[in-house]
Amino acid sequence: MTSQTAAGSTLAISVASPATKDAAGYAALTFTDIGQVEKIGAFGASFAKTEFQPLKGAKQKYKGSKDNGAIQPSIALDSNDAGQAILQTSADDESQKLYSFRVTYPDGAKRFFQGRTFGMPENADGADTMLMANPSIEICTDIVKVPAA
Amino acid sequence: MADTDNKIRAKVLRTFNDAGSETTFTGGQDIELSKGDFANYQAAGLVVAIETAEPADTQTRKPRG
Repeated sequence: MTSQTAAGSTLAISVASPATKDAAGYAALTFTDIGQVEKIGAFGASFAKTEFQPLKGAKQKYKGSKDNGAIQPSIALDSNDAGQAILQTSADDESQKLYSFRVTYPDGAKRFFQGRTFGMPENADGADTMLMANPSIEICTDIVKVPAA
Repeated sequence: MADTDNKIRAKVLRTFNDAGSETTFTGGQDIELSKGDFANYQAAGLVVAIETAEPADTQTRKPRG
């Protein structure tokens, strides 16, 4: 993959869960694109750091538990957009249900994961700004990366 | 089996747009959706399944004489 801009990237949601948490499992799901996404944001796994300072020698740093992170996309509110309506449903959901998400890059590469939406606050800022939604989606599964075809 | 199989007849509860397919669904419209699309739209309260109509009562009543 050569370097590219983010222009053309998409974020999509599905209420279904994959039979297997791999490319094939996610590919079998039906996703609904979320419209009017301005930014998707940074996402990916990071590890907790466990430090150990031996009496002799350099401080050691070990990888602890893994956290697959979260995304906080920035979205212009559109009450007619199906993807936003589904995302709002996931935010209103008081159960522990996992929703499936798909990020598609301009070259066709995809990132799949499941998560829970912990909120979808709306932002009415200045007169010359768009009404925005800023959902917070916590990623609860390993991110499945599918390269461009 | 992909969940894009098996069409479901549904009624659109309110007008909405699907950004991915760039399709507008008009409120009150009867449509056919894949199982996966139906599940997504139904969860958001956008569509409901059209129940299969019950067969008409074909028995005739005897007139009282």
